[in-house]
Amino acid sequence: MSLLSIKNLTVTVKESKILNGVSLDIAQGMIIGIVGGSGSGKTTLGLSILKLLPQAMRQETGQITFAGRDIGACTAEQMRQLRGRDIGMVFQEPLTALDALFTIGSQMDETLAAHTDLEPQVRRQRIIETLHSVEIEDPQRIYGSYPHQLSGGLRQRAMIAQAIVCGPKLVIADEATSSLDVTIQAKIMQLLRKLNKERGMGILLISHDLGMVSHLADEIAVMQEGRIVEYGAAAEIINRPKHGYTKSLIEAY
Amino acid sequence: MHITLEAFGRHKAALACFWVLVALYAAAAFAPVLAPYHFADEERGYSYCPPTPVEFLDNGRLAAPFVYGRQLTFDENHRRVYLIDKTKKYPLRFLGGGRLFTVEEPGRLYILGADSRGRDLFSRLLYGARISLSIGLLGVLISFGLGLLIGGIAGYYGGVADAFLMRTCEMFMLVPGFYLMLALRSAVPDNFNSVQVYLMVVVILSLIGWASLARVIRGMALSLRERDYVSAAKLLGLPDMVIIVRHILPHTIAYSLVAIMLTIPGYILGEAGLSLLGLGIQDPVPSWGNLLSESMGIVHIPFAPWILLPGLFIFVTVVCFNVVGDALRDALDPMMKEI
Amino acid sequence: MIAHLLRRLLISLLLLAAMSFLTFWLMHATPGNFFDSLKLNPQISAQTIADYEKLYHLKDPLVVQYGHWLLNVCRGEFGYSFYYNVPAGHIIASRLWNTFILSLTSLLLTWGLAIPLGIWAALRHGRMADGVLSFLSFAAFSAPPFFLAMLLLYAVSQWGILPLGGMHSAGYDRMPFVDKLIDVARHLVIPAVVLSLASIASLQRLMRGNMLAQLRQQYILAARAKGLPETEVIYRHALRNAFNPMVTLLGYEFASLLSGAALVEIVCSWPGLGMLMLTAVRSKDVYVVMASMLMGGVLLLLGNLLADFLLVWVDPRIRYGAKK
Repeated sequence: MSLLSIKNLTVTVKESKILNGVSLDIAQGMIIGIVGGSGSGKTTLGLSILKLLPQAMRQETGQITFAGRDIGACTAEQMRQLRGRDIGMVFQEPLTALDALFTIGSQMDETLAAHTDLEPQVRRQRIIETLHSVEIEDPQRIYGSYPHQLSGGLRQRAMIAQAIVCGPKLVIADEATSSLDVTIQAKIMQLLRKLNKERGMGILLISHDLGMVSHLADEIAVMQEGRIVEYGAAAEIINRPKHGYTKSLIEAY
Repeated sequence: MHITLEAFGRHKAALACFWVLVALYAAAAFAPVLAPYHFADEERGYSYCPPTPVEFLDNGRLAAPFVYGRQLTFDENHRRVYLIDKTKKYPLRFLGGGRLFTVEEPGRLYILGADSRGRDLFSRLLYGARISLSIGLLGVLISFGLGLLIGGIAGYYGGVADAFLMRTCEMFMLVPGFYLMLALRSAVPDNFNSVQVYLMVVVILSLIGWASLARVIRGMALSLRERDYVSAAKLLGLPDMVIIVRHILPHTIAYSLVAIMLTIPGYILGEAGLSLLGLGIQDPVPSWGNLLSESMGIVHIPFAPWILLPGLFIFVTVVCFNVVGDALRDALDPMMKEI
Repeated sequence: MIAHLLRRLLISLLLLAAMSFLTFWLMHATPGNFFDSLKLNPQISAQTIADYEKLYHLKDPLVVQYGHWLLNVCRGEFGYSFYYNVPAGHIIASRLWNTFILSLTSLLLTWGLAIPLGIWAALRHGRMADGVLSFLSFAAFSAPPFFLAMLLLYAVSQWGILPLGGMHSAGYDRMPFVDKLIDVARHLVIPAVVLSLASIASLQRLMRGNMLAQLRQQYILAARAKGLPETEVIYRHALRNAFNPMVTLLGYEFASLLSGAALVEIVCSWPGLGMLMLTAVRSKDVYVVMASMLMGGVLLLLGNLLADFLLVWVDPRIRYGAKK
């Protein structure tokens, strides 16, 4: 069964179209890469799924279905429950995506508290376990640390932990490794693959880096100016690109 | 600067306020002509006389503008009542004796009422405008000159000079403004004439505000001195003072202009406060502040509410400066929020 | 951090001393002192005056006089008030307390009203309510406090709901404790409101601006993306981040309240430090002037130190520093 189905999505801001008739089907447990340059609309795609478009943007047409539910028909409260619990999101820069005034632990705790009825001790246990599963060696210390006290790689692991703590079926990773060192990037990629295998968790990997995405993704959608110009298995896209833009992306790396 | 003028113009409220300020300063400049009376012109028989409207109809027929006479009586509570005496008509005279309009003697024209000594409030407001509006401006300009110079030197040279000058600034900023004002005032002899008093108030005001301005300028100078054109000037062998004045300070103009606009209200209020307490401009020379001191004894207000008008004028002036300064700041640099 | 604060304290104390010396010099720069008026009084003998002058070292060079004063201050003695005929310390202490009450009430009023108003305005950004509040803030900010006080006192004199200035009503001493509190509170209303108005206006605008800036940040989007209820997003995350930098203002506000309070105190006849300073300056009561200045400076200093301390305390980035 398809986990996420997007049909003919068009999103506009003022007069221009950020997304122009985008359609996509993601099965359970798959890693799908969304690759494109800036202005291709890939981030907007991610935000549309969560119904978190900025006020200036409007969804003109299209239907998004997640786990059998029509996103468009969901009320605000239903969307709120969906976010974080069923769909998690990882952002590019954890320093700005995490609240600097709260510890990692408390930020993960509030997510759990917003979606479950677990007792505080149970929540803490769950958080420690999740931190452990993202290969953080000293979860207790990280629990009580502030974002600025951690290194880049640790911070990103913490953010991933925050995104998966409620056990979502899908994680949207928007340029999740772009601000990390290359070696750490590779480690985070391995982590994502591990989580995908262990939890059967789908991943929407949004990035500008086709090469990096191809190592992890099962299938890739190449986007340009709001449209998907090519779609296929990762190996296909890399070895036998058909569209001009795809070719230029490959050549660039 | 073209862009800024246009953006400024779009701000309609600021434009309106700007013209109000121009009108106020113009009225102040032309006070001796616009005011029917000299500010010290007393007429004790007309103490707290209410405003005398100018009449245009004489028994139903159009006539040249004139004013009815007033008869002073006392009511059962021994309070003053001015009865209109229609038998006495005093026509307005225009451009007589160098004044735009006056009234034939012994009539009195009180457009906005009279104070306790029968002096015309309208005239005193106009003459007072000269003092109050100019003191603020002068004080700010001096503060600014001081702040620019000291801040510029401190920021440019850095090191010991910077440390010393900044400590001096902090020292001045360490004492609450009002207290400093009073203390400075107490150092001044009591027998100053009006010109000296005026200058004294200007100096006192400027000494209060220069310190914070100097700090801001110093910050800007510090960042500016690393710029290329400064290095180029140094390489060319220009003397330091020239560099400071010709190259660094002009770039602070934008900030300076906005800061000036937003600081003037404080100075106007400072002068008003001093004069209100009898420590500033002395009677009979009017300033909006000492005109308000009549209202300090609240007793008079119900019977002569017009004595509150100077406060209204101060309010309007301050609002206009604030609106204009705010709009200027937005027009000059939308991201310049520190001032 | 402690070292930094201590250093600031030390420098500030030195500066205070410098400022006090300047004031001392200024007070004596004009000919004549308090005793000149006494000299005109035929009932006081020349000998008495000479004795007084010797007691207060009035014939000594200025620096020596200042030295004596400074030494005494360090011992907690602030000299003598010629005007009130009590040690300066006593008269200042009582007036200081009154000013403190007024300032504190004003501070509470300001922050209690401005913060909610600012948040409210930020959440209604772009709508009419926001515009109206903006306009009102401008007017409140520009109104001369002493003028406003006069208007209010006038209004009150017509309607009689509040006392007309001062701090205590007649018969205060015989009132039970609760009534005393109420009496002082009623007298506090006008001066506290007048004092707070301008601060409320500017603080509210600041809060609004900060809130709007925070709501645009990435971590707010992230918080919504994890499904936090909107109230948590706004009041737990945006508000705390918006409010944090403003905490330092608490210290500065407290300090500047002293200065602003003086004029309002005088118009409302509130028996505080401002009133005292005025009469002291008028009558050349040197030691009271010096002590008042010093008090003002010390409170400002404390306010600044408090601000510095708060800034470090509430922001974990500064408090814990970056560890890599």
